[in-house]
Amino acid sequence: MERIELEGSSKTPTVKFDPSGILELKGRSIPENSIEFYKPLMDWLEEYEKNPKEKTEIHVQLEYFNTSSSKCILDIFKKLESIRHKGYDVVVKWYYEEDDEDMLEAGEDYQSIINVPFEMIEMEI
Amino acid sequence: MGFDIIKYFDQIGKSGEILLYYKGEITEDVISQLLDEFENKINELNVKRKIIKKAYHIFIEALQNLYHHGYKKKVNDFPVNFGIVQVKILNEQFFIRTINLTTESVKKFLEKRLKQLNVLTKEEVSKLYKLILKEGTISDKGGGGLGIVDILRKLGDKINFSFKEYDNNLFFYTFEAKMDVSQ
Repeated sequence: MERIELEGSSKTPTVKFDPSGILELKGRSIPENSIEFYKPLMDWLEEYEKNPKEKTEIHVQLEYFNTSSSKCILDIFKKLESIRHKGYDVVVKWYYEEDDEDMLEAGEDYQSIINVPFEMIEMEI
Repeated sequence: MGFDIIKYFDQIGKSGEILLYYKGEITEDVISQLLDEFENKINELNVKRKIIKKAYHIFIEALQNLYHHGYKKKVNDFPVNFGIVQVKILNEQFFIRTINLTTESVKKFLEKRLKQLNVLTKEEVSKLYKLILKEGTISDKGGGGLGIVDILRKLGDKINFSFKEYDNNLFFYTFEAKMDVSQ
């Protein structure tokens, strides 16, 4: 499997999806058409799910994400949940800036919907 | 020629410190420019980062609502997907205002929806957000109905809205989110 590495832009996040099981979404996810942006990432996960590593870790460190991205991010987590249900180890590391209650709450929302362990990581600004 | 929205907007909008003003077609490029401008202006102000983030977030959703739900036909002098955007500070409050043309059926839908949403408590809004996120299907416009609910959640206050009749069953929809500069 090939590694996905996308440089972030003013509207799209930096993405690093590595077949070693380390995934990263960082920056801003506010494109007008999120489905289009996330489609290749979902395709990659589809493939990865067939033969995942013992442990998969996703680091989500978003400064902003729009509501159309929120659904796509949920789809990524659902995929990871399905990998976990097959007996693999999966963890979501959710980063938020200190005082950013909205981003913490957004992480907690996902945590309550998805059956995957979340680690909430507060970052000093 | 129907209702003079530009004049109306100039009248209601001229008080306070204008941070940003745009009128014209709402395209992806325009949104990028407005977001950059908004960020530059707001970063010059002495405002807590968490307020800046909240305001920026609301601004993104408001602009993308304009982009996705604007009227997709040219009407007289108004271009396709015409919108007016204004951000200002008045009495220690940010005002994020947008205006777009809309049909009578969309007006009816929005009025009903906004009235229903505006009476919800903060907890009810959070619950609804989670429910739509979990159960809602994503629309071809990407929003899946979450945009307005998310704005309400971030805002923690009502969304102000009004409709002014233009002509031929078209209306100008004004959306306004206001939040305290210091919280």
